[in-house]
Amino acid sequence: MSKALSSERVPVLRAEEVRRHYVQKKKHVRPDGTVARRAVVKAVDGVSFAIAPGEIAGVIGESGCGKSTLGRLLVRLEKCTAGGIYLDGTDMEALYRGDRLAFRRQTQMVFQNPFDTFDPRHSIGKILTDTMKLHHIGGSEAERRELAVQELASAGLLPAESFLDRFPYELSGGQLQRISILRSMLLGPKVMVADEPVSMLDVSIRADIINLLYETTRRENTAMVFISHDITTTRYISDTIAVMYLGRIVELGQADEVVTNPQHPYTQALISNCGSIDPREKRQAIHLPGEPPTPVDIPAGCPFRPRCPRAAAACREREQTLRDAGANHFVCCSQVTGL
Amino acid sequence: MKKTLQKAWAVIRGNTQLKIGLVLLCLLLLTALLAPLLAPYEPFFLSDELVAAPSGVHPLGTDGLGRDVLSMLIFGTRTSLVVGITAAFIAGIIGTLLGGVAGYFGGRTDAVLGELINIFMMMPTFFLVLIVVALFGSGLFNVMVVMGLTSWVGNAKLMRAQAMSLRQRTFVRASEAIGESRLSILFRHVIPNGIFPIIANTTMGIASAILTESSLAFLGLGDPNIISWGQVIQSGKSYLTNGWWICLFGGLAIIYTVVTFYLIGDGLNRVLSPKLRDLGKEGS
Repeated sequence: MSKALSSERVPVLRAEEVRRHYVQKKKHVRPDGTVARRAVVKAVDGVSFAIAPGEIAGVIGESGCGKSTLGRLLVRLEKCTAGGIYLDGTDMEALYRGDRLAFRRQTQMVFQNPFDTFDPRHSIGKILTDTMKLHHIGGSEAERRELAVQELASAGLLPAESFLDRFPYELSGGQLQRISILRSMLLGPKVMVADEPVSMLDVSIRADIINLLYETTRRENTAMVFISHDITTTRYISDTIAVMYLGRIVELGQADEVVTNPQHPYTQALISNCGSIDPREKRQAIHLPGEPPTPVDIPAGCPFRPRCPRAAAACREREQTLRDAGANHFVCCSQVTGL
Repeated sequence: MKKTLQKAWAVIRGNTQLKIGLVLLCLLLLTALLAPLLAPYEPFFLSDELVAAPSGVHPLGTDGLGRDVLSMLIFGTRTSLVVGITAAFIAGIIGTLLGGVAGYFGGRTDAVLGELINIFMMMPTFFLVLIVVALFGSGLFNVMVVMGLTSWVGNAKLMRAQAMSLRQRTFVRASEAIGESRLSILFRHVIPNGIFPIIANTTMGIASAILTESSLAFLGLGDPNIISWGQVIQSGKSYLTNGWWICLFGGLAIIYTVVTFYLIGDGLNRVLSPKLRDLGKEGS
């Protein structure tokens, strides 16, 4: 679908109709009153996209829309229920089964909570050298330590030697997130997934971390999936932005285009509610009626229909798909794209 | 090596419970090692004074057969320590491995191991030990192994719960994402981070194994060739009214050992967890 976005380059990562459903074995009452023996949570429900080498793709959406699940699927921390993810055209599942370590070197992840990313019993030096040892980087322990010092210094953690013998709980969130990023980049991944990497950090150091992510991935020509609920940050770092709602991508396009000219009614509401630093700026916030949805009972047809200000009778029947609304801007709404 | 020892020494010095516990344990170990030198009499030596009250000749008195209680207790230390430590160690290892595998791997593995844990939980340990003693004789080895093989359930349940919560932690997921194998994560991250309650439980296990062995001896099913605290208490049972010292000092010996292992367990618990270790430093 989004082939046009990166038509000039072969995508490094391609997701095709990826689904991740969780089965809850408990009694579940559907909205129409019938009772089911089990509830199926459709966290990710048919997501397709492609990323070119070095491209930064932002994923935004509200809590529970499946963006973090998507991130875990992309680095195969979880298995897809259906659909496939392809790395350089090869099925990720096959790569994982074939050579786990080689596969892990190609996709890496930076997690939301830097305070819990590292084993609290291991020193920073051990964390870094163990990773190198696992992937056969460096010939001897001394060489690995030397390399660790270089990497720490290059990430701005000075004096680097002093960090080797310190433990994760002795460092700040910003320092830990830097180490998390440099540990992942040590393996030279082709794809990096950053799952809300700055949401738990002080505002004052967010920019540093974002810039470190940006610079290192650009230098290594690593593609990045940047998952966030912060629209401004995502716009700043990303080339393209995908907006997710209830496990699906509802809008996809160039970052500036999506933010300044949103087409899907949900994106319009999301962006109109995004705060601005300038209090004088006048904005009409779109108020969405209804509850934030649960991904258990996804309505037939367009999933956004119950809350959509532009909902029409046709939205109930027609299964919505991403369609080109012009200028590489894809929208999943028949009211916008026509037909 | 020297550095590690120095570090260990500093850690021990920084924790009062561990310090006291280790001193008490050293005394216990010395008693066990130097039993022939410390004991005033042979443990089975029968003197003419029956049920003699504590005096200069018999510091803790004698039992109904005229055996010196102090000597029996000193020699009994060996039995109790060996039985307690071996049984608790076996139980600790089995419990940690099965609980860790069940909790971390989850799914079908957990379902199968969970049932196994339930089966063993239902098993009346003490009667199983009785049956084994009846069938295979009252050798100390049988008793230790059977106690170890049947008392791991508590450890397994603790470790399973620990592993299930650790599995959700970011650092376990991060280790997975970095490429570590599941077995390596289990042994390098899950078990070391979840072992603290097992350590405390195992030290309590040492105490309860000592108690079980004493109970067996108390019922007259102990190894008659080996002196143990349970036997001392058993021999004092009939003289409770006119010879309180037999049961009292036997019981005190057991309490001393239980407290020793509890102090060490709790101290280790604090020392092994980096966060608690710092709290300890501030406190002392």
